[in-house]
Amino acid sequence: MSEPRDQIREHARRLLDEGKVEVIIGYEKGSVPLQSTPCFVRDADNVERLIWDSTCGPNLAKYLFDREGKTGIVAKACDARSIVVGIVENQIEREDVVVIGVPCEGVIDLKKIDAVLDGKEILEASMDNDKVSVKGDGFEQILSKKEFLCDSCISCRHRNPPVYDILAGDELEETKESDEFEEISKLEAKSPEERWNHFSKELGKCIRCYACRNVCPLCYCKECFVDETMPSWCGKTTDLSDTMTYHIIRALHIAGRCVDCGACSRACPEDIDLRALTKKVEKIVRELYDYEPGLSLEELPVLGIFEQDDPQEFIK
Amino acid sequence: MILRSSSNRSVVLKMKEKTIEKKDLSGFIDSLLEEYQVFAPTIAEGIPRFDRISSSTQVSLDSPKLERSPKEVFFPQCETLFTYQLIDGKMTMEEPPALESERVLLFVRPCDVKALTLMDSVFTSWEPKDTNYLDKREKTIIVGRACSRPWSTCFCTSLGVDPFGKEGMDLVFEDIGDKYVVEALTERGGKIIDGSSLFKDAEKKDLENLKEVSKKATEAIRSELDVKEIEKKLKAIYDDSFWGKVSEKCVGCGVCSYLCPVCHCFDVQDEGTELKGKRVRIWDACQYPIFTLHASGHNPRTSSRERIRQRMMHKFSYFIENFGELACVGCGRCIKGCPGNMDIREVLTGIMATEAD
Repeated sequence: MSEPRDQIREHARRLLDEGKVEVIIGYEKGSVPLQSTPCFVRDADNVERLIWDSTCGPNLAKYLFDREGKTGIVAKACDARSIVVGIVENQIEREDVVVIGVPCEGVIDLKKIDAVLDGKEILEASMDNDKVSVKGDGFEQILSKKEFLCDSCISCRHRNPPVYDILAGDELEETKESDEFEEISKLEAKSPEERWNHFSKELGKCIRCYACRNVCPLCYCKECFVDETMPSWCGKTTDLSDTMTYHIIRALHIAGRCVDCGACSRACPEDIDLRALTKKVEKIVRELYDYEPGLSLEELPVLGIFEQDDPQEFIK
Repeated sequence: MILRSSSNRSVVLKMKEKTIEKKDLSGFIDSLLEEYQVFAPTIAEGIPRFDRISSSTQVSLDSPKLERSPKEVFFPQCETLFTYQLIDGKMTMEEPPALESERVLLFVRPCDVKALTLMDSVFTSWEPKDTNYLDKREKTIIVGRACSRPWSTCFCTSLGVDPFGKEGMDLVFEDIGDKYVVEALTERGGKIIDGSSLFKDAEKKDLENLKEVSKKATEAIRSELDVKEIEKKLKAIYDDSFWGKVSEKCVGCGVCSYLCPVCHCFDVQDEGTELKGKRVRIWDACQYPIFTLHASGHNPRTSSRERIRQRMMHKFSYFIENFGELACVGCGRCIKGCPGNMDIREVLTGIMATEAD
């Protein structure tokens, strides 16, 4: 069996040649070592641009919302789950999308790599199955990929896309090595004051660049509440009250929808612990409704339906 | 007081170069703290940025990442323009007080100082001058730091910025190993080292070393771009399909603008009630959907195609028309910061290679 990358290219070429899709959205090599960049291929002669490796972090499902025409998309498991959410929420037409699903062993977190290099800049990098080799002025280091995966990949329970039209690569065995909610349990064990301090410190770093919102496929509101101007719903400053309002409402708005792809955390220029909020909300939804979003096209959005036996202890 | 704007920068002096041992640097900084408010590169919550310091120990010159630009020292992300209050039927309005004392901003890279001179053009070269900005700028002595360690994403030399350039600085520190060569470029710069026994006259050997270091740094800048007459090119391709393609991957966040040392667009908001409140100005970003939303509800820039074009037109065409210079210094912060790795060097190369439809 050929490499997933070659299979992606092969399928992309065929889909474009046969006129099944107008464009393939995938990844290509970025301009900075260990970074990929979204790539839109319309000509079958250009499929060689497409890559697949552990740098393919951005959640490409973002580009399916508001798109017209038949589109092929390279989707790792969490991207595919976001696509499913988009379909069940009637934002994406199933028949307009050809999902080239890719089983995924996790993507690397560049911030974690930068942290161990202590200021040395990577000028060249290469990867194999479990190693990342980085080179720069006067240094060369081989890192174990596993240690530098994104937090959301470490706790990932769905490495295989639940919905796809074509699968590139072999299905992977699902892992449950660590406790998915370990970090959240640690936060829950803290006193309210300690938790307040944690969230004040983290959300206090926010510069309101909205990278977290804009890379999130599920933040597709035509007008985000923070952009409301007449009247203004939320202050636009970086005062803690404003930044906290923004992040808390965003987390609540993606409750029962967030698939923990980690795109928001990777995009944040201030390295804010955004998952402390989103993963907690995910945990609450799991506990209340035993529900995980993005796994089935048959299931309606959990907070979009009502059932007689829904938990309602919160109604006092 | 010296009026700072790119057209009439303070007189450049030619003073004899001095040197200071690196081990003496903290002594110098601590002596400055006795007299001035001092801002310097620090690391706050893992992010290197310019901040007010109270001790030399907070200064971080070998930060693991390229530090945030110092624009917030002059143009804070949120700034109160005035406060108002209704007392006994009478409305009182108050502007924030001017700075009481002089400040020193330490160790700014040449590209970032160049960026400040470009912001000067915007905020101070026409009437009315922006008093909030001007006050901070006039009362701040700029101590530059020659850039002996460019990053791989730097492309300043392609835009006419020299990593050892001194434009806009009052004083410059140039790293030659175990010491710095220090050169006062203005009287104000000279004033803060005058009388300090930590500075010695530079020897011939030091200046030779400096030449060597400067040559090495310039060679270390790997990116070379040709943006000659880009403003003409941009006008010619204004309606080109190029913009649709190049903007496709932009998700419309504000990272590039907020990390940029030159971007200076802002939004003005009123916060409070009819009895009490304030008017604040807040950084804005041209990639936001509501950046040009009119009160009527009309928005002339409805998609990332128009927004990316605006970003490039502003930096590489309109700014030249208005002030004769490019509004990009090639620091590369936007390249590493962009969550989609949209690389401004590639956009520029694409612009130059595009023949109008």
